[in-house]
Amino acid sequence: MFELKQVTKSYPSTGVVLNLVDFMISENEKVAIVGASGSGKSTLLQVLGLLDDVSCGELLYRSEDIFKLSSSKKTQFRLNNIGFVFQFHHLIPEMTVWENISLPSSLKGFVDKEWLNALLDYVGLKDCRDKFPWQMSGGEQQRVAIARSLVNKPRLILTDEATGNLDHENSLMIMKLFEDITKLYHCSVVSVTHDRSLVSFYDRCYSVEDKKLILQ
Amino acid sequence: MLGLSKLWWTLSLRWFFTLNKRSSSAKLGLFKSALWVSLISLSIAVMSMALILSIFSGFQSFVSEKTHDRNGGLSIVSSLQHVNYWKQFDQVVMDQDWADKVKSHHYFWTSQALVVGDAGGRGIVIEGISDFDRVNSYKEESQEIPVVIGKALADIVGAKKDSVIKIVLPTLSNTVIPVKVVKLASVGVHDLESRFLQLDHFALMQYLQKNRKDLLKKISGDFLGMKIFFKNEFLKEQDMLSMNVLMDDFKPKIATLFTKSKGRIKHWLSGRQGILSHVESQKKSLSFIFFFLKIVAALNIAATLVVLFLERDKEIALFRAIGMSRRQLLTWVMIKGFLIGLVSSIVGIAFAFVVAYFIQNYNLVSLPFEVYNISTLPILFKVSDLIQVFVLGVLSSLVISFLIALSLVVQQPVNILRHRR
Repeated sequence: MFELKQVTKSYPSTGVVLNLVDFMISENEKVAIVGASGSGKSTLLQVLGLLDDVSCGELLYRSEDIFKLSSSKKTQFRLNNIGFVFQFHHLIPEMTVWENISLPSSLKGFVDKEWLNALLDYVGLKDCRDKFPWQMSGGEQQRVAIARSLVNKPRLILTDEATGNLDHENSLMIMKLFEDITKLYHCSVVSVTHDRSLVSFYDRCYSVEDKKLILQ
Repeated sequence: MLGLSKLWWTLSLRWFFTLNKRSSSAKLGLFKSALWVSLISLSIAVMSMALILSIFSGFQSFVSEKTHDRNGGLSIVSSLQHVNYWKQFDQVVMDQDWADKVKSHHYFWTSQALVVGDAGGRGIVIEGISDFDRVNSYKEESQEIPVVIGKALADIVGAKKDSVIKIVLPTLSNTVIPVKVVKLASVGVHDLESRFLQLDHFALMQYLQKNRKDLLKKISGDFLGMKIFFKNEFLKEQDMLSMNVLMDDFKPKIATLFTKSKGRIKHWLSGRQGILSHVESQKKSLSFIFFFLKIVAALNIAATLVVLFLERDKEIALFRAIGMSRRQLLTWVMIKGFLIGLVSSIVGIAFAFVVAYFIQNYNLVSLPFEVYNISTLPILFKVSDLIQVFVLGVLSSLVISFLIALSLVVQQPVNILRHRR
């Protein structure tokens, strides 16, 4: 579904971070990316999420090179096809759970209330819709972030240390959610993680070593 | 609305008013203070500009009213020799669309004269008016003709109320005529006031009948012009432009009656254009200077918005990451600028009304009456002035937020999202 071909990413300050990387993920797949700090795994995620430009290479989606899209088209593509879950949730503190979840769809100009209710139910936060993030636990906040990432029914969900700030119990709950998401919503998940104990939840696991992606 | 749903407008408002729910950090406390200081500084700038414009408008109105009160709204001047001619002009006036706005009209006669009192003399143009009774009735047995003179003129020649001074009329063979000051008038502007003298024309004729019959034929029934006074509410509606339109309509009708003599019509604003233009130009100069005050306030807002967006860079990066377009971000930031400008301008204008109330009712700023003929600042809030102040207030904030938005849309969200909690 999404395929990286011969992607190289370098920064003026640190030089080459990813060198001629190839990567592919199909529908319903879950892939983990592990690696040492600074190895380039988050950079890979940013490249996949169109948040960062590459030095060379292609990102193919339905045979089209997404890297060649204009900046505004890339933004539009992100809005429609990619969901993000970050380590620190990045919820808007002044907005309720309901409002936080509806943010991406409001950018599209249409909020499907039934779908939002279903998502809230799915992540187990139906009774929390009018709560503010600061009134919730870390695990609950992360579930809100996951619901937000799903609201536009994306094809790819990118998670960056989504469980890095949670205890083991909450981490397992989140992983179970990802497992169900891929089955229920026919999307793919790419997760960057430090926690090797959770790798078993994924279909495949890669590590970033020497600027290359190595299948574990 | 503007490509953003109600949710984003709601968020904009909450960023301002529910900050306390977010965090109690000292950093945010400082930020909140900066925001309020910015709002207050723009409010004060708006208030100052609104007040300065209203004070000048007040002076303009004061001068206009005083000038109209003494000189009429319209004056028709001709060398027609008898009052009967003027009856025709009466009819033309009454046929006008605006005839119901006319309060009164009277005839006048003018002459150069030397006014002499105990302290000295001054050459001016005096006026004899037909309905002087409205000021003070003339008693036939009186030896002096009643006059109303400007306070400044009274100071110059050393006249007081009820004192007797003399006028020397060159048009009447330099005859010296005693007159009695029945009223001291304030005319609005010191220069006009130092040249102002009106006398009872019929009293002058009776005086000549009694004492200088040989001169009577020179003045008998001789009116040079007619003054038309408008009701106040009509006067206030008239500015220079609309008065000119009114004149354009009125002039041809009057002109047809000037068959035997050349005549001219002028309105009170054109007669005092120099003074009113001077006040207007001062008003514009000061508004221009006060606009810089607004720029300073707007820069203050810029500083606050920078703090606001530095504090909120994580959220902005998130919005960009999940798919907020540059146009949407630009619009959204400008909404904030608009809200700051809107709130500050409304508060500033409200402050201006409050300060004006205290100035006028508690005499906070007193003026030397002998110079200005008014003891407190005349303040008149004109809708056009307030709109100007309001628009400039909102606009300055909007422009600044636009510049900030431009710098925000080029930022990459990636690093902020990765490293910020």
